Amino acid sequence: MRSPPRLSRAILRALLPRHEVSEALEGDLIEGFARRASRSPARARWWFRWQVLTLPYLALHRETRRLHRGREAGPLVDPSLRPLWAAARGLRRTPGVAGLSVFTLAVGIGAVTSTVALVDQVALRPLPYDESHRLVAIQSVVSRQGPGEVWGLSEAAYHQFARESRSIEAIGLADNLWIDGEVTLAVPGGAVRVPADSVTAGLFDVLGARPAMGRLFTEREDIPGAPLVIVLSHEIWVTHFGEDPGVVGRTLTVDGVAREVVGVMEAGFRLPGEEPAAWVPLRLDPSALPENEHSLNGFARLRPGATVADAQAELSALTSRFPETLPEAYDDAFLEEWRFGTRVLDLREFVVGNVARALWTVAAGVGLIFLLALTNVTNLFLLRTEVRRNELAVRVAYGASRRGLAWEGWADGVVVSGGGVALGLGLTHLTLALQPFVAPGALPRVEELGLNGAAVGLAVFLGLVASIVVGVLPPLLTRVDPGALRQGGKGQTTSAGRLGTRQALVGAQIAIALVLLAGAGLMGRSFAFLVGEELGFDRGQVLAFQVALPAVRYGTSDASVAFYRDFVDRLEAIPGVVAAGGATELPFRQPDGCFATYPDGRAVERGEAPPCLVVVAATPGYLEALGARVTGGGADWAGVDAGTADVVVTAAAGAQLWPGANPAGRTLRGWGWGDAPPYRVAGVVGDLRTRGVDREPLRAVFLPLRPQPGTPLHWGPFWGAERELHMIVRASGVDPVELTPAIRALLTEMDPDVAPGPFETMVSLVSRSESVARTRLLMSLLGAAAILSLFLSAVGLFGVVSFYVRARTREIGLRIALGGRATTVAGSVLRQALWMAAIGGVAGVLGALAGTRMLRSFLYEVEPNDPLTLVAVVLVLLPVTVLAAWLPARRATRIQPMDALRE
Amino acid sequence: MENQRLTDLEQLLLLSVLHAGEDAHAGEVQSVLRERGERASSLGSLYVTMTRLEERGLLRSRMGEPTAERGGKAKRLYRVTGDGVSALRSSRRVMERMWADLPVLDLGAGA
Repeated sequence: MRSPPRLSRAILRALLPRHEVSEALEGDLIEGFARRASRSPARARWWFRWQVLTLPYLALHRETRRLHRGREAGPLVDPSLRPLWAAARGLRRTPGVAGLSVFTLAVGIGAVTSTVALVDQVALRPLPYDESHRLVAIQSVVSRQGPGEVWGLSEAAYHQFARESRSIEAIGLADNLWIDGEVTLAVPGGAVRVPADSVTAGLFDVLGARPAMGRLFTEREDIPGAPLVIVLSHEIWVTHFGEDPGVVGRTLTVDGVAREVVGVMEAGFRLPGEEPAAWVPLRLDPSALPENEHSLNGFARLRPGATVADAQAELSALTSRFPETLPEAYDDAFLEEWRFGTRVLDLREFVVGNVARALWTVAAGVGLIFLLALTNVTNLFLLRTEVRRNELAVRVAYGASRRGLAWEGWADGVVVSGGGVALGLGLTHLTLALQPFVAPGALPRVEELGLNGAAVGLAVFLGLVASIVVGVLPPLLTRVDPGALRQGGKGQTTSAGRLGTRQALVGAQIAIALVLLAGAGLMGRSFAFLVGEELGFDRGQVLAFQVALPAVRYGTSDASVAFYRDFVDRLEAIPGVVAAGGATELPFRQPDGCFATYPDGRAVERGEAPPCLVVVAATPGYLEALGARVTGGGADWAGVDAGTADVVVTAAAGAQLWPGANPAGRTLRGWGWGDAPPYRVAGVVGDLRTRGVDREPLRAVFLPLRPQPGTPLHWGPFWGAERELHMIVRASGVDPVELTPAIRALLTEMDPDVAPGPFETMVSLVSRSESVARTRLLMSLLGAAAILSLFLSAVGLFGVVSFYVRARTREIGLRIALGGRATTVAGSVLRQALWMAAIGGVAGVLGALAGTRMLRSFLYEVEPNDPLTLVAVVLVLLPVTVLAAWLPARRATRIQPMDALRE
Repeated sequence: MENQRLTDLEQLLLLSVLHAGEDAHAGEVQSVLRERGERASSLGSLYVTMTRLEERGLLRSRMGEPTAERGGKAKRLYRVTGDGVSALRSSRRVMERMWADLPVLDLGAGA
């Protein structure tokens, strides 16, 4: 539905008086909009806005005519708005003050509303599920492994909770190991990789999913042996099937397996924190023996009236009884060893996490900007009132009341802040439109970001506050003395007290600017540390992509290993490729998770958690292609073929397994199956930070692609061959992205059914990784706030010093006439200005020391009260302050004594 | 009302109303003014001028029926009054007198 811009329409209604002509005008505008919108909606919107924008100008024009010629103002001027038109006429006489005030307020209001719209969208607005306040995520916590470390839910726990819990109405699961997972889908015109999740049928009930076409799969299709089905997301249906309604009921090949499409999901539906995907049933077996395996994402809907705390208490109690209820999978020793528990988390917190806290921090900083803008404009208006003091004195002499002057001042304030609100909302609109480009990947849920009712409401509220502070305070604070008129107004010099108010305001501005600069500086330094962090490998010149082999033809390890061996050889033959390799995990993209690992030659004490290591299967040469330093050596292809059990451990893993000893040559094994020969550590790779730049070095074991019979270190062997690898290719002399077509062609040549997943460079993977993206976002938001505040406080200082010089013109002229040197006079002005700046600076440093503590959890390798940052910030602020004070002070030196005295 | 002087815009506007035909509304007048008169004008300022012309008795208007495509708002329909037509005629006479007997300009225009 195309309709005129809402804000402009509201303005139109507010401006026009109730009159037949107004009604006709509004109708003409709507009709004209509709006619233009059929050709170009965007142009029609701008046309409408422009037509509305001309109205206040016309009204002002008409009102002026009315006053000058005694004519009626005509149909477009609402008589009740008359004081506003009068105020606007007054402001037109000082266009500099008016323009600067509108702009300053717009910047302040725009900054606040942009941030609040962001916070609102990301953190406050309900998630897109029915009654989302009743939704929770359920995770296992293992506090022994580290604070905040979580595992998924086990199948056994899921069945237990579904049966026993009273506070939970419905519970569903999504397969944790498939997060970021994709499947190869045969679509009209070839094979594509699409995101996919395997979920229980119950999850759709939990989240209130509805099909757009066909149906969702049922409980009966979610058991082992049921016919294979798939539900497509609306997005996949649109992109890959051209909205063909005939797709429902068709059989598609999904990763080489035939599945019937039973339905298409309604548009926009996605699992919490994920993209729209294809969904297949998880097909759990309720009669399976409970296992101690925690790889599933649990989501549940609470019963009406039940709280998160209720559910938490109940599930904790159920969990503590696991050793009795699920003795096959859990014993007391396990719960004790890992400090194992269950956590119930509000779904919003699960999705949004600590980004919300980061945004509130920015919102606080941005609130300061509004204060800054407000003090600035108040200062300007104090100045304006000061200049108009004679006029006001005359009016008071003729009987104008103080209250009347205040009302009039309020009208001035409304006009200025009205302009500020309108312009500020325009700025917000622009900022929000640009946001996804500025900081991609940093924020969840920014897709539907836009100006919303809350932001507009807040802008109007801030405008109202500003109109009162800016308009009403100055006439009340300014001493208007009709008696002074008897001396021709010359007695009315500015008193020290009033100047004091303004000095205090300027000092406050400088303090605010300093706090914001310090915040931005700290984030900047954190960012520099993060980006400069040694990752343990060379991120440049590397291209990554995923390859998944269909299970049908690559069901055995032999087939899969043969393919990848051939693939790596042929990749390395592509001109410009110096090395290639593949592994089951991709740096910065893999889910959390680790596997208990037991070192031979060292007993694990009872009650001590066994080392939990990340286990990665990789091709020989993978670590070398990544650019990591490996000492010793790993398996080569010959070793893979021979089935040797040689592995490479990271230095951090080695240090944990065998504290203080050289890991090379030692052996380790997975849990449980102790009879088979263990793995032998052939090589050690230095510290790798592939799970997040700010995380501890990775503790991992890299094993050969071919699993060792009987000695599982991870789940892979149970599922058969490793068929899905994240490939990396190291280029030399060419941009790695340019290799994409050659790699695609090679894959098609080797097997047309195999499609590569999206290509991405390692540099981009690093910069989109959570900690780097979040720090960049905070840095840029606070940086923008700091630059604005620096600018605003410089303008404020400039204004006050200008006014000071102007108010003291007579005095300065007198001093020069009496033989004072002009430079001495300017020096004293400058000294005064810098004095107030210095007081503001000290207040700012104290404020920064207190305020930057809010940032502590977002900083990396920097303390909130980092002295270097503070010194740097003062060094930035100092020249700006001196310049802003010196420019107007210089004017004092040009005062001609005769002119000054004659004034 | 013989000596009703018209400004340039007022002339163009009255002529546009005539061109737009019986019961013209502001949207039509605006497009005639833009296409034939090569003058872009916002709807608001059109209404200001038309209201002024109406006060001077040169235009007459009535409200039409509200329609859905106009958001339920009625049209205001305008027509030029007899006084309007004579004001236009007298403006034209003045202009023709001013233009007459200036062969240099005539040549320039005809070339």
